[in-house]
Amino acid sequence: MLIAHVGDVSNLVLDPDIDSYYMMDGVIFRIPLLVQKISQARDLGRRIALGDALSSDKLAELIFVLPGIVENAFDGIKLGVAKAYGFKNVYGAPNVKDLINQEYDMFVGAIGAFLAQTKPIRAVALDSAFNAKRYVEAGNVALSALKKLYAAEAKALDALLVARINALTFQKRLMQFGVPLLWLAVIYLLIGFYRSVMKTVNSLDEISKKLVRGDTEEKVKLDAKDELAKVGASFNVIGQALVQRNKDLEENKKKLEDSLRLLEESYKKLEESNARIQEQQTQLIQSEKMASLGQMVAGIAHEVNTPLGFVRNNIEVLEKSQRRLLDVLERYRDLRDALINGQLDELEAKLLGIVEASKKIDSSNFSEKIRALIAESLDGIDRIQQLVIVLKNFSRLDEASFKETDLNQGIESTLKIAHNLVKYKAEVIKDFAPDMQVECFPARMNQVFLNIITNAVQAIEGQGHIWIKTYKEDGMAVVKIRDDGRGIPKENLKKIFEPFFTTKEVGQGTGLGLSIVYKIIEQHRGTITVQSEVGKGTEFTIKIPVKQSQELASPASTLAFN
Amino acid sequence: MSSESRILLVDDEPMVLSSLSRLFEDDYVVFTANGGAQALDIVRREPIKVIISDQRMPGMLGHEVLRQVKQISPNTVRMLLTGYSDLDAIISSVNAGEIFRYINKPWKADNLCNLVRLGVQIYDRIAQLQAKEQAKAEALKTSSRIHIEVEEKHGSVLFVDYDENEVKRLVEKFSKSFDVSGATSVDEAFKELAKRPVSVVVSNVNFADVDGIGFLNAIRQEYPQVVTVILTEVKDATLAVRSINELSVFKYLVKPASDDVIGKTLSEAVEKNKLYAKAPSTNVRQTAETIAPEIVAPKVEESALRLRLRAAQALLSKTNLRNES
Repeated sequence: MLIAHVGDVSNLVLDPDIDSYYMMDGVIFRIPLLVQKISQARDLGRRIALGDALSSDKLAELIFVLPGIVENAFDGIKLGVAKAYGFKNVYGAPNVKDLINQEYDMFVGAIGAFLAQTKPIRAVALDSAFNAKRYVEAGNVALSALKKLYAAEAKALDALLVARINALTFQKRLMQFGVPLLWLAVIYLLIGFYRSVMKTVNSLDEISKKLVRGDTEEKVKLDAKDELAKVGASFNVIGQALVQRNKDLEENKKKLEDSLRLLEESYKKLEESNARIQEQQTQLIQSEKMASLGQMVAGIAHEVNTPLGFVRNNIEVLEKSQRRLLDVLERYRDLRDALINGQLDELEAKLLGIVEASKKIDSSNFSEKIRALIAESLDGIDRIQQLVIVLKNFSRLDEASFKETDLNQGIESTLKIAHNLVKYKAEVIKDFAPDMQVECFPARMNQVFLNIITNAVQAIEGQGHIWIKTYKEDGMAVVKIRDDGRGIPKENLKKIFEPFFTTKEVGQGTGLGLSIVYKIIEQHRGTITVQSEVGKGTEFTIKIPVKQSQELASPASTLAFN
Repeated sequence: MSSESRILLVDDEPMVLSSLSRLFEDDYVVFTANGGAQALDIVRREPIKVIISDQRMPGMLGHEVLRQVKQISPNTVRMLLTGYSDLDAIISSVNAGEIFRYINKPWKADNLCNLVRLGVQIYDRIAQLQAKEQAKAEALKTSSRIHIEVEEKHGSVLFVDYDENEVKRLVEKFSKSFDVSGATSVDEAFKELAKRPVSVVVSNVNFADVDGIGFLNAIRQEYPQVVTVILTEVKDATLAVRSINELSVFKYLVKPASDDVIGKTLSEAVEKNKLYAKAPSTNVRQTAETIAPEIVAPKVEESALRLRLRAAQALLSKTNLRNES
């Protein structure tokens, strides 16, 4: 059966699953070849030993071809067997190694010997009968080993095939009994599956409840591997997202609390800086006042400097003149003493000296000069005194409440203060109504006039004019101050009373002047309006009530610019 | 001679005019004008040696009056009476070379008298020098037809500033057009000056240890033909007034000044230096110093600076000798 099987090569080779055919390959293809070739070689060896003279073809075959073929086939078998040794438990078959081991060792030894025997022949001599004989013997041994191996392999193959047949039989039986069992298994699995689904659903339910409470990071236990599992997985994703969201919310809450704290802090800082700004604003208003004061002081300084300059100069000239007078006086005294003492010899020289020294003081010009010097000096001192009075009038520091005051006078003293500023730039044309007695804060109104007049002067390019008109109308005192300066552009006209609005360069003005004016007029319950045309000039119209009502009589609390 | 000298007083304040007139009437022929227009009329008519003008006047400001006087009568010594420091006007008047002297109000009669006397002397001296120079020029014209044009190298310029980068930058910038060197301290500047003749010194005046004006004055006294230019970040009326009164600075440039302006100033300054060499009469400052050193007397600090300068000179000549031997 086996041999028959072995002979049926196609059947065996067709089954690619069974790796053990490697061995079969060794047996089926190599062993018959080996047997044939070794027999051939032994026969040729025998003929040499019997004294036959072989043809050169045969000899070459014996020496070169046959051993090569034998060697090749030998290697193939060794390879097949080595692989067969590696196989394990093929359908419960015995190990190939156990089955062929002994025969295989013999086979290896015999073929090895054969090849060893043939080697010296190949190497040394072909015609030695002794050698040929050994050749033949080795061939015989190899052949018998081959037979035995062949048998062992056949046995192993047999065992393998039996194992395979058994396996197939088992499969057949399994088909017979296995199908109902399979159904049972399916039902069992279905029940298991249902349970697993229910478990998943319950888990879903439970976890979602926990999730709703927001106190879990658990995941749904996933046993199933189907759509529900997908649902579960999605649920897990959603759940985890929810948990994450929850965490995020917590974090956001914390962040919000932090921001709230920051907000509170910055609010506090804001309040502080607000206070600081207010303080700075007060300081700015103060510095604006100081700036206008500074301007005023500079103007006054110049105004004072001029009379001071010539008064001082006059006194120095007077001093020089007095020195001359004293010189003449001294000479006269000298002459008198000489006369009294009777020193007559020097009289002429002394007289000549007096005449010489008196030349400059004898002229009518000299006494006129002294008189003028004194008069002009006094005039200068009067001018300084006037300035001091004007300053006092302007500031009216002694009056801290509404006082009936002549506005005309206020404007006049303001013009004197601003004289230095105005005189080089503008001619002032006054049109004053005679009675301008008004209840007001004189010092503050003067500040208003000074501010507006200063602006007017600054608006004039080159030489210009300032018109000042006062009159009363419907219980209001009206002051109009007009200039022919460059005028205010329309877009700026609305903003001029706003604090900090300025068109002057940084450092030139705080932009508070007119806002202070506005405040002061407001405090007097008056109005201030402005008309302007670019290139033509500007006119400010101030109206304040002639009489202030009683409740405003104590103004200290309402006045911010005190 | 002095009794024939004509001086002109300009002020819009009659009291000031009469007061000043009385101060000068014994010694000079005094003219008065109540404003710029009147003053210019008089200057056109009369050979005025000294003019004193108030700065603040309606119509024309004092420095403008003096600017026009300079054109009409360049030799008239011009003084400005200021009671009110108008910074920009002062600096621009410095740079326009309008003013010989600033006088602050209220003035002292004695000082003013001295200044006017000096002014008159300067006027006379310059007239003398000019006559001599003219005669010399005439003689030169007639005697030799061959005019020897000495092609001088561009003027040599020394930059002095405490800011090393600034000096480096300026030296690099102007090394093409001028023969330039730089110094970052007073002593370094003195050494540079001792090394070679310098025609223009461009200097800051804002040094930590030394009064800048005094420093420049020391240079001026040692090298009278050096033209000084102030290049500083300090915009200060007092400094500007001092730069004229004590130094007769050529230009007062306020940083940041454009390279164009600096370059132009350098060219002008170099020209000025050449003019000083050719016609010493134009060097009013030096003339003033030769006439009345007591009025433009160096201060103590300046003397000390001059000692330092001379020490630098001595040191350098010594090392030169050593190198030669």
